[in-house]
Amino acid sequence: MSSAQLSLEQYGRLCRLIYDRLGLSFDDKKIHFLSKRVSTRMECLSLDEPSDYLMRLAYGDSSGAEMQALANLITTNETYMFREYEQLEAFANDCLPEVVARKEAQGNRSLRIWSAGCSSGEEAYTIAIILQEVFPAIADWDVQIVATDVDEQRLVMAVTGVYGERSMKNVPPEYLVRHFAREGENWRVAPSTRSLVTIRNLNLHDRPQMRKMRTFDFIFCRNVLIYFDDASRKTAVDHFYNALIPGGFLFLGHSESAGRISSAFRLRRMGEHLVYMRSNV
Amino acid sequence: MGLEETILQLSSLDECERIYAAEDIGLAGCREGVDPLFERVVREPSQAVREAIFAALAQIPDDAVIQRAAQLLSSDDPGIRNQALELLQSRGGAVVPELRLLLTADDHDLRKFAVDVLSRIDTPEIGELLEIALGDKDLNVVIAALENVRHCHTPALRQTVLQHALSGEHPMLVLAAMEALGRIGDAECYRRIRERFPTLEATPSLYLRPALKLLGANGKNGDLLELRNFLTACESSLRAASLDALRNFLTRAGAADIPDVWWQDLLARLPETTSAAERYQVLVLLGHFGHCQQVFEMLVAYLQSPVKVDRLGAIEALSKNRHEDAKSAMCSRLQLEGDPEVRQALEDTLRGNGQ
Repeated sequence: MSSAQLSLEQYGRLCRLIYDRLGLSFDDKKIHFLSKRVSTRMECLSLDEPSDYLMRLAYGDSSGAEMQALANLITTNETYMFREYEQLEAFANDCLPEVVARKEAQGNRSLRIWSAGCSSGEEAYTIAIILQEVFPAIADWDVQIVATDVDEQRLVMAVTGVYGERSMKNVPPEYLVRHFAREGENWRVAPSTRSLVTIRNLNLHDRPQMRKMRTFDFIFCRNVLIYFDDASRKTAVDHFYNALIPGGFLFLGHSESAGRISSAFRLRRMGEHLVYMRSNV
Repeated sequence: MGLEETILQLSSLDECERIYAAEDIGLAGCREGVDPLFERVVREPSQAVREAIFAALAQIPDDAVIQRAAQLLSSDDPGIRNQALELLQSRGGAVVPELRLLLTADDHDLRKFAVDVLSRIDTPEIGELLEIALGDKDLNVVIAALENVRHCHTPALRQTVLQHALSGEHPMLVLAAMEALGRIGDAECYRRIRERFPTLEATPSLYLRPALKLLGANGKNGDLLELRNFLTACESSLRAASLDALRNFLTRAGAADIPDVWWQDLLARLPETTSAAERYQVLVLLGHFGHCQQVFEMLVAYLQSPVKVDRLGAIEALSKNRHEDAKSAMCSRLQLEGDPEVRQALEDTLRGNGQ
């Protein structure tokens, strides 16, 4: 493998490019990690100099294909329960009470949440658990969590609702008892939690199907859009905008940013977190 | 729904329908959709719809999109201007004829926008277009053009940039020219710049970063002492640029002729370097001094560091280091190492894939 020993200036430039295009932040402790991934891409492209690779990434990648290839190397497909815990706290403590209060005032006791790109279902069940834990009136509301993904094998896992230790590592112990049943070395989601989640196959690139997704109060699409090219990412965010009711919230991955995709959303600070809201107009 | 009906939907009262209409017109990709989209976008109140319209226009492969987008660069709305700019950038070399016209416009803002479009496109004509912009009478247009000099696109370009660096009067113009030379400068440029700024000490602080870059890329062994003195005394904000200059020098010339005092300096300063990336870089640079037992021992000590990026830097340095005990030191570390990324780096290096 060719060794891309990035200079400090090149490393800074690469981090800015990745942030601008993918919305992912890397601090200076990641210099080795990114250098090695750049080496891999340089080898694929038969480039000898990191400066040539950066030039290509910055100016010769109008389709975003090279950034996409790099994204595949610098991100993981890993998913687990209660991933990005602090963001979920912003949902539970700030966004959810705001939406519930507004809908209550409107006499509307329905709540619709979409886990877009749900993979094997950990995020959807996490949301279901949070709702039961922080929203005692849930029994009086019509609550639906729609979990969608394009990968049929992952959806089978989501429907089964049985998870190993890797998926469960962040589940608070008291929730384990209340929302799961032990099954050998694994954990099965409790029926009360399972019943809140509707699992469906949906391709985020499928325009007609995406247009049918409407009237959601919350959309979670975390660490999914980074795998899309620029045009697809913009289209998906347009769909999310339309799928949300005014005042609804979009949650992207902790290090992703909708700002670089769309300025139509209103950026709001909730505790330590920034969330994106469809404006109330 | 036919195209005509879809175009009518652009005026729907429902924001969502307008977004979908724009998407559908973009998908159809035909010339007939261009004018209605441009007419709508300038009076569209919703930012979401405006973005959908520009995304749709990006999908229509007709030169009319380029001409109409260029007209929007005169808009009073900065949001519209920026999106028109992005739209033009997405067209690559096809925008060149329009850029030629824009670069001769009376309005200096339009000429500057034309240069901004150049910043994201790669076309054989870029050197010629930059030459036009570098001769502009407006300072901002010239600075923008200098910022976009990425290669030595034409033989004359380097000389034009050098002249701005040597005789420019406005500090920001000189800075932009120096930075451009940092990217495309050669030994002759370095020599001429040293005539204007004979030492790093005599170089105004604004220009130190590009001056260091030029030194790293073109300096001679005789310049190393000056670089060493500078690295020892410079403020922390210039340390990264100084280390990069040294890195470039070592990559170019190797460490064989470099006196021991160099690595002693690097070693001495390592514990007080707070930036993880800089520490990593220093460790990697020390790998060039593989002939020295003291450096080797220090790298082995850093293999045991509790800080992961330091261990990774030490591994990278040892992969360059030809010391006979380097391999056994890394094998020993592998037995103890728990972090997957560090283990991977050790295994790759021991297999010979680390370099």
